[in-house]
This record gives sequence, structure tokens and C-alpha cells, in this order.
Amino acid sequence: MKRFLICITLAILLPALTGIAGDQPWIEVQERQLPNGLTLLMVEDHSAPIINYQAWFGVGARLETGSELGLSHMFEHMMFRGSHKYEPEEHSEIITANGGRLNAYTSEDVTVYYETIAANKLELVIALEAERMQNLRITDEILATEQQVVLNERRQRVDNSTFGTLYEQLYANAFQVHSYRNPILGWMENIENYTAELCREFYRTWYVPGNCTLIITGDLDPDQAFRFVKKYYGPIPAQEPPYRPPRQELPQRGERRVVYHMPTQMPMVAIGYHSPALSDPDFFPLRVLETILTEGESSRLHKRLVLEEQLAAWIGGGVDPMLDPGLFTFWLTPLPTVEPTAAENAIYEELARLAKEPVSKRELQKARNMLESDIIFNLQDASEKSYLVGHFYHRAGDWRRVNDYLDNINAVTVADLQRCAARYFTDSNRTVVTILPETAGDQPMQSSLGGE
Amino acid sequence: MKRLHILTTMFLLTGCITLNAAEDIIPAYTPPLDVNIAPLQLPEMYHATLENGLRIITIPQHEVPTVTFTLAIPGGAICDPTGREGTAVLTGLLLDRGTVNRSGAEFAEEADYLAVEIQGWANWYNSFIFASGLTRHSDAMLSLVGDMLLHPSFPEAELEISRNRMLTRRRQELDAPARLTRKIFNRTVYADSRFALPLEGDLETLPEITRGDVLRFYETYFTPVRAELIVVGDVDHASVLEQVRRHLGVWSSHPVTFPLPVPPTAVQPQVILINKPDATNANFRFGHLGVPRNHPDFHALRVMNYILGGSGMASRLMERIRTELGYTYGIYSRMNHQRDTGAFSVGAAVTAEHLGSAIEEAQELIEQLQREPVSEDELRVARNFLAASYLLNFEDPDYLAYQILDAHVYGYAESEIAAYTDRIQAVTREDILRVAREHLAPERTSYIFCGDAAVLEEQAAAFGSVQTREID
Repeated sequence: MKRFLICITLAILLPALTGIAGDQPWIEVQERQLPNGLTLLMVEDHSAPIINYQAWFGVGARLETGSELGLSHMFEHMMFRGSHKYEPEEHSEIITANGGRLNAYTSEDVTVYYETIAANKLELVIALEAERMQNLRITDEILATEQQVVLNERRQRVDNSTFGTLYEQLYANAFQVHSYRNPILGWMENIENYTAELCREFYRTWYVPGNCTLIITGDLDPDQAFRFVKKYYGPIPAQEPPYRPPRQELPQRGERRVVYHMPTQMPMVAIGYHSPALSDPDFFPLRVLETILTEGESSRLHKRLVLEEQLAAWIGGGVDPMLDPGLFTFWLTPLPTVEPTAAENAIYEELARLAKEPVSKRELQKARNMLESDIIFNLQDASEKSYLVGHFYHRAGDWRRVNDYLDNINAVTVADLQRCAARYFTDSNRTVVTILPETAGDQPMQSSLGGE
Repeated sequence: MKRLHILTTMFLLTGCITLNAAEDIIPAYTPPLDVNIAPLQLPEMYHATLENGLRIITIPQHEVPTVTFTLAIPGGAICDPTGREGTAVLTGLLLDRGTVNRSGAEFAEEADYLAVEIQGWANWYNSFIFASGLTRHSDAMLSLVGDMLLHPSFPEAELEISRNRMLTRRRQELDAPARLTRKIFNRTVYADSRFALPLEGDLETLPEITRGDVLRFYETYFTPVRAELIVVGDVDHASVLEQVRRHLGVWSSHPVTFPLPVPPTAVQPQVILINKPDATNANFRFGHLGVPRNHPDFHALRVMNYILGGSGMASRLMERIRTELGYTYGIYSRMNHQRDTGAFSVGAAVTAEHLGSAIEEAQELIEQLQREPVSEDELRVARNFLAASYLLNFEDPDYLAYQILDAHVYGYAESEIAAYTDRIQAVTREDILRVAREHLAPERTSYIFCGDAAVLEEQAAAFGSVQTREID
């Protein structure tokens, strides 16, 4: 079970998040609130006798400081390690024994726990989730084992992975102030030094009703679901999370370029431009630019770099849909016969062309068609619906943004695309990380970054 | 600001009191022990056969206005010419990269404009064309499918591009210890059979494939005889059939002979250590040949494997080696089934100094399965999960299409799709003990390790005579 999925891939593989066509909302949400501050969002979908349950906590790498780095992710592990009523892993065992699937992930902005199970098991899921939100057991022994597990996770996903390293290095170098510079898993040194007391304090601060949103999608009766939520979550005392204002990243005033040597067969390149948050109106033109540049075999960069000029084996990328301003990224594997900078330069030429020349109406329409199709396919799946609702609620401030997303996309003009390309794709706003095969004499850099 | 701080402190204290007082304010809920596994209700399906032999199955679902076409043509990677493994996948990838009517770029532009995803591919047994998009484009989609199916031109330049991309993926595999370990495991255990090499071919076979090989593969296996098209989505059978007939009815048939399967050679157990001096952990995979998908013990083996290491956090391997010992982020056992063979294996990435003890612990858990029956409780949990979660899969309407294709590939009746839950529920503790004794064979086990040889060599030597290999 890939339970501890972190958001390394999420930012890249994130499905298109689009909105509404015509007068009918894509997703109808019933929103309720408990007196203790907990929010409940429900989406009825009676097409299959199942429910998808998601508990979203508004804490992730973004809010961590000092010795807390990686602690949100550590908690994603601890939440499976027993509570007053249940032994370690018993939560998972009960869900699976009842035919359900469960998982969790931590991202920069949120930590999410989720289950998919037969609709008649809703009360069970609610009871179990409320229990671990309130009664988690945090002991030195459990923490010590779980620290070893997370250290192993970091070795596997980051230190021994070219892509994991590339991702970490891009964000660590593109951001100087904002906490998006910190790895979601924390550095080795952080993970090794957590204490049970630090964990308990973190739990008391962030796993509170005012910081929790439940999203339930599927074959449910909203009144009955609300009754269950009231019964199990209602007794938790009211509490809001503290407000930690996001650190303001200073405007970047010059290109940052990092060459990172590691033992690898193939070079890889990551390019990041500071870009606005999901809630910013410029997000929509950037989402369209992403489609024009990287989605589909006819997209500008795939066509030029992979097919026509054969500079890269693969190129992907897009705009981060985050709570605070993130990056517009490009990821590529240059072909072995090609200088990585030649592939880079082809990208910069294409970005400059977008700023200079208006895209054709047909190309804009193609992007709209792709974004519309993406959301319709996502609506087939209960967990995708829950995700969309939670995503817009947490990162754009309102789940209704799901429903007007496509309107916003369709309102994007050719002039918007040109303006945004000129504004964001500038040399001085750019950070480039190139991973090159290690040659004799290279000194490993990892030791200075919390490695072993 | 100060006020906020005081408030925060108060909240923290409140939380603290709640925790320390051990006053349990969350009501308990005890679910019923037995999970009621409802029989699988398959949706309505419509069947038709065109004059050329192509069979069509339509599975209407009207939840959202989309449609997916899956065209499966018998003849996959097991038909690759020896030494040119990867031909089937390369042929599939090239279908839309140029036809007599459209260049690859024109084809992509047309498909992208309609927001239609179209892709050729091959697995071990079939070649495929997948197409999905909004229902309003279904006719246009079938027109594109017809073009790539009937008129591919396999341009030499496109072949080079696709080959280079496939080679890149294989080179990147050398940087990914888990994938590399699995690849060497397959080479060792499936020796001499097609399954010894990756589906997409490998670094030594891909450069050998010529346009002539691709053309020959296409001309030999791409025939409507025994091919099937499964249509899932917001369509009605009659209209979609009319569209299929119009675009694929002209596909002419010819007889086809399939190569006889080459069984893996039984090899002496081996211990291979792949030296990756930079690795900060150790990867391993150990195991041996197993049984084909159609074996009567398939369902008992599923339940057994779930308990051992197939169930994520709940498995015995995970409980012991991750949760209790903290040696790994994840450890899994796998039962891989093909049409004529299969393999059993256990794999993980562990702390380098714990490689030997992690494997010994895993082997003790395997021996325990062979020594004593699993508990009633474990059996109940495993059966419930496998049966109930199987039903959850059918939320995705395409899942049924894959199940139907599997039934045809592996040669079992379509009725087995619905019978699966009953077969799983019928597995007993005695069955699991028996299949563990019959099908898990420590004496036939090969071991593949990947990591810093200087650190691992001594630990690896406990499992036999070690062959150390460098990555070149």
C-alpha cells in the first residue's frame, strides 16, 4: 500500500482541474458545520454503492518551521500507529477487514487521510477517523520505529532517486524565504531529532476541528451522514489552529542555476518560474499555457523537443496549483547525444515566442477542449470528486471554484496568454537545476544537505 | 498578536488536559464482524460480430458523456522475434506516428484538438489500440482508430524517435534500484523465456529492431480474426455498431499462427549482487518460478499472498519488518501469473546493515505459513478484503472491459468474473497451508541484491555463492 504518498508527484501529475459547462454545476456540495468548527462537505453520487471519505487537515510543509520540518509527513505515519481504542495499524486492519481501501498523503499545503468503502460502512469510517483525530497515542517507542521507517522512505524516494533529488533541489533553490523551499519529508537531520513531546504539541495544535474538513462523496444520505459526523466528531472541543502568516518570498532578481552531480545514467533538467497561487486570476491563463506547451503530442514543447528536433526523450511540466505562489515548472530528460543547454534553449525560445506572437484561435480552442475533457473524465470517480472539492476549498478558499473553473478557463483571451508569458517567463524569474552524471573527482553534495 | 498567543496557549492546554485525563469522549463503534459481500451485478452488455470476424462488446454507462474504445488484437510481446524483443510495443507505439493519410504530427494535432487520447500499445499477449474522449467525438475517434489500424506507414524517422525514447527509459532504469533489482530477478528466474526481458525490450534488443521487423509483426498479427473491440461509455449499441462497421468493417482478415510458448528453463538458484556504490540503502528481491493464472490454486494463493505480503500495512511481512523492526518503508510479496508460467517473489528496500536480517525474518514468515495454519481471523480479514475491494473496482466501468479481456487471454470462462468473490470466500485455512507447502519453495529461491557491494557482500554470502555485477 502506497500509504505515504507525498506530493512530489502530485504537482506534476495533478489532473486538470476545471469547472462548469452551461447552467448545471459539475458538482453539487452540501456544506455543514459543527459548533466546534469542523466543516463537512458532502457530494451525493448514487451511481455505485460506495463512498469515498477524505479528512483534510490544513497543515503541511508550508506551516513548518525550525525543528518541525517534515513533521506533517511524520504525522501521516503516526496517525496509523494506534489510539486510545485501537492498537498500532488496527485502523487499517479494520478498514481492510471491512473491504475498504485507505491511504494518506502529505503535501506542501495539506495532509489528507482517505478511505473508499461500501456505502453501508460510513459510520465505521467516521468513528475510526474521529478516534484518531482526538485520541492518538504518541509514545517514544512508536516514534522511534516510525522514524526509522521515514528515514528509509527518504533514502528510497529522494536520496536514491534522480527525480526525487531534482524535485527537492529545484524548490530548495527557487525559494529563499517561503517554506515551499523545505522538503515535505524534512531533511535527514530533522527526522532523526523529532521527540514525542514535539509530536504531541504538533498534534494538539493542528489536528483540531477548526483545521479539519471532511469530504464525503458517494451513495450517502446527507442527513444521516451529518448525524454520524455529529455523533463522533461533535464531542471534540472547539479549537481553531493558530494563524501563521505565510512567509513572503522576495521577487527573484536574477537567474539561479545549480549543477548537481550524482551517479546517474541520464542527465535531467528542471526549470522553475515563480508563478501565482491557485486563487490568483492569472492562474487560469497559466493553466492554458501549460496545456499549449506540454499536454498531448501536438503540444509545442513535445512537438519541438521530442519529435522534431529530438533534443529530449521526455518533457513535462505545468503550473503549481498551490495555496501560496508556487512555480511553473518544466522537467525534461535530454537525449544522451544532446547538450542539456541546447534542450533548455529550445524551451526558452518557445516561451519567448508565446510572449511575442499571439496564439491562434484554434490553438486556444484546442487547450479549452482538452481542459473540458479532463474534468469530465475526472467526474467518473468518487475519489476524484472528493479531491476536487477539497482542493478548491483549501487552496482557493471555496469549493464553488470547481464549478466556475471552466468558465474561467474559457474567459482566457489570446492577450491574457501573451501578457502572462511576458510577465512570468523571464530570465530573472528562473531557477534551473541540472543533474549530471558524476565524474571522477566530483564531491557528493548530499552530506551538506542533511544526508548521512 | 499577544492575545492570539494567549488564546493558542489556552487551546494547547485544553488539548493537553483532554489527552492526559484519558477521558474518552469519542463514542465507540463496533462494526458487525461479517461483511456482507453482495453478488457482483454486471451491467448490461451487448455483443456483435462483424463479417470480418471482429467481435464487439458494448457496455453502456450514462453517468458522464464519455466513451472508451479498447481494441485488443491477439499477438503481443510473446510473439517478439528472438533477439528483437520490444517489437510488439514499438509496433503499437508507431501506429499513430504516421499513416498513408496523415503524418504523425497531423494525426496528433487532430486527436488533441478533439481532446481524444489515442494510443497503440502491446502487453504480453495482445496488441492494443486505446481511444477515449467525449461521446460527441465517438465517430471521429473511430475514424482515427481506423486510420492507424488499417493504414500505418511506420516512417523510419518516427521509429528512431520511439526507439530512442524506449532506450532512454531502459537507461534510467539503471538509476532506479528497485526497478533494476526486479529486472535482474526476471532475467534470472524466467531464464530463456520471453518474460526474462522487459515487455518493452532491453538495451541490447531495441537497437536490433528494423522497420522490416515492425512491418512483419504488423502484417502477421494485425487481423480481425479473434480481435475484439470493447466499447464502454455513454453510447447505445446500435449507433456505435454502425460507426464501428463503417470505420473498421473493411479490415480484411487472414489466418494467423502463433509461436509456441517457450517455457522458462529451470535454473539453479543464484545469488546476484548488483554493485551500486552510491546507494544509501539495499534493495532485494528473492523468489522462484510459480504457477500460471489458470491454475486451480489461484484463489487460495491470492489469499495466502495477501496474508504474507500482498496487503500493504496489514500483511505479516509489513507488520514484522516495517512496523516492529523499522527496517524498511515497505515490503511486499508478489504472485505474478502468466498464461503458462508465473513467479513468486518478495522485495523491499531496507537499511543496508539490515539486509541479511530482513531476509531471514521474511523467510521465517514464509516457513511459518508452511508450518501452521493461518488464524481464523486473518483468513476472514483477507477474504473479506479481497472480495469486497474487488467489487469496488467496478466503479470504473473500464475495469469490466479489462476483466473480460483477461478471461479471454488466460482462457477462463467470463462467468468467473462474477464468481470471483465466491471463489475467494471458499478458501479455507487448510487450503492456505497446502498451497504454501506446494508452491513456496525455499530450496529453489534465487536472490538479487542491489546496493554498495562493500557493505552488502558479507550479508549476501549467507544465501549462497555471490556473483557480483557492475552496472555498465
